[in-house]
Amino acid sequence: MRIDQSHRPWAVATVSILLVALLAYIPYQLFYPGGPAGNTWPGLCYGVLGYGMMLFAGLLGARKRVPLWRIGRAQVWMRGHLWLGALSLPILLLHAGFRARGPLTLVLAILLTVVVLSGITGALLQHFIPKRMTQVVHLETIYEQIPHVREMLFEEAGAIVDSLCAVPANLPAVASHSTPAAVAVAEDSPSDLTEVQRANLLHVYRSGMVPFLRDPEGNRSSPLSSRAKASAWFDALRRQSPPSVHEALSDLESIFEEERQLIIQRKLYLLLHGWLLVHVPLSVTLLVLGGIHAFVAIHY
Amino acid sequence: MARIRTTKNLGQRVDRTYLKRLYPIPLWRRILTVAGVLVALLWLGIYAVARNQTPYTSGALTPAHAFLGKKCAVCHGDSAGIGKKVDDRQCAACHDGPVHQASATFNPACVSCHVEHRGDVRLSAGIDAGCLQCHANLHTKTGVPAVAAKIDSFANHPEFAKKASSKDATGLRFNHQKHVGELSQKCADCHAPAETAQPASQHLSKGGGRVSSHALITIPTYAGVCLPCHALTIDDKLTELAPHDKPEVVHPFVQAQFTQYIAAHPGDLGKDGAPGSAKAWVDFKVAAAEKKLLEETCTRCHTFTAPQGFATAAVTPTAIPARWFTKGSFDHSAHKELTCASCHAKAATSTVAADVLLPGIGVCRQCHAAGSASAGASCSTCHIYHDWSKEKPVEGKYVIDQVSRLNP
Repeated sequence: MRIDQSHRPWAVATVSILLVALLAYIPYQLFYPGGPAGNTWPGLCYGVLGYGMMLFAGLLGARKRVPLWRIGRAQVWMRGHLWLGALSLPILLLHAGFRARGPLTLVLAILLTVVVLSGITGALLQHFIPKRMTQVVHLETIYEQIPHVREMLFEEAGAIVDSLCAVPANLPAVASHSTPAAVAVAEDSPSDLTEVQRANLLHVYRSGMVPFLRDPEGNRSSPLSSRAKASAWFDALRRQSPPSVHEALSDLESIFEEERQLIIQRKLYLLLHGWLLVHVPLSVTLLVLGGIHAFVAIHY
Repeated sequence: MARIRTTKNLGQRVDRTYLKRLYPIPLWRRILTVAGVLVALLWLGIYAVARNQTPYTSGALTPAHAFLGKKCAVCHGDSAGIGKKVDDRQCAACHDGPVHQASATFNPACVSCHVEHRGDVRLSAGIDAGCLQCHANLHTKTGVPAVAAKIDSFANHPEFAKKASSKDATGLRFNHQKHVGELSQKCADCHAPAETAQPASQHLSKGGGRVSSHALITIPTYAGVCLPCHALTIDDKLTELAPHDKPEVVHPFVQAQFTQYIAAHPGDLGKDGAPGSAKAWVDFKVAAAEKKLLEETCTRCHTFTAPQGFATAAVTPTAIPARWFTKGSFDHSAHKELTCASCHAKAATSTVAADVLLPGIGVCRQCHAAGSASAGASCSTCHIYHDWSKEKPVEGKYVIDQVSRLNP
């Protein structure tokens, strides 16, 4: 979610609540017998407010699980999650009087800090990375489909090479053509390559292209992992081939460009969603421990 | 044929079953979420099985209460609930807390002054806010506070009562200037170092405040301080000195001394204008000696009313207090690094014993001011809330096994 002008009401409300809480804290700090602590009435008020904000922020997960629930717009929930979640940290610091003296309260303070900081990191990543993704990954696909798409690109590349090397009937096919694109390529297979050129292309395919297509992220040293090097690599192939196969070679080159973009997309995706591996588990743990802390603290 | 990305092409590439599978990030998110909650519950569960409530403490207990740290209910009771504080009865199970003042309009709860769970602090000291509940705007049952009605900090504390009075009625004559200035005596020559223990009775102030046995300066006594220079010589013929006592005790002593002397030296009868009979000689000598005592020796320090002679003279009672701060608990031993004159500057120029030589509160404030570098400016630095003169002994109720079971 981009943090833009539409967040202004939430930002104003958050800053206003924080200012009121800070102003109320001043006389509380100066005059309350024994000083600020979580078990005083003002401290309990801060605690209930802060835990309420945490709960609201946590309910975003439930809201996402049941998108058909018509309890407010998803956008409102997301903005509330961002701003109230961030606000819960200072409010709960006021609740605790800026101290964490017990083991459970210390764990809660650490969890809350990590959760809020990871959330802020996530919000910044969500703000910048989608735009970056649009700029550098023109051939973006559904993230979960990337392994499947890679299999199809591998087949398509094999079909193109098959079509270029298919004249001798006794030459084995380099790939089985199960995908529509690969079948289409295999059926349209004119080739003016000499036997030497075919053998050369097959060698290049097996030793250069296949390893990269099989494990694009594990072959960083391959010339095909860089657009400039790949371009030079394919230019050299074109120079050794008749013009009639140049278009097929350009198709092959475009397959490798798509592979490279999938690498970038995967990296950006991991960056965009990886922080959730910290944020979500710790948030749930925080809510559970926070509930236990509230129960025990109120009881005693 | 050139590769063209059409919607159809892209659509044909999609594996439509992908939504049914969990991919790494969502899968690990779930695994870590469950693991995080389980680890947290396991942590608390281990303590719960051991019946140990340490994780829930809101802070470390003072060392004296540390053995109670695993059982919240020992202090908090079983009837704890929202907004409920530790009941005074829980404290009274082990501690006596004598009342502060009979005229106080209410007795605050123990925990409003003695705030636990703050680590290794002096819990008995209480907190200023506890005192300020009343003393910031004091009202009493009698309607007339015996102390200043509005004290909200040491900066606003009134001048010490003894200092505020202009003269001190000691009943003595003493010239500090002569002794310290002209004779170059040191303070410690007369005022015994604070290390000398005081009688136990002096450890309680009028307000019941306890002070350390090394807190006070001893009261100078004649025998301990004055005698070497100010001997109570009766007569050149006698080797015995007069006792430092009331005239009715001194008079028979002097009579007995002269009677013994003339019995041993009958040749002195009639000499130097003295009477010739023993009884008249004794009366003559006693009268002369007592006149000298009354007009020269004793009068150096004491004042008398003696309308019918020495034997019936009334000495003005002396009143050097053992404790000058009767409502506070000043500790000289805590200030022994300072020179005497740094606080008692006027001692070197004082010529009469009635001068009040206590330092004013301004001297204290030079070190005991608010701020991080302060030597302490809280109420409990000088005052003690409970009137320990009314302390009731607490009878022990526990045996070691019971106590050790609280902290297995």
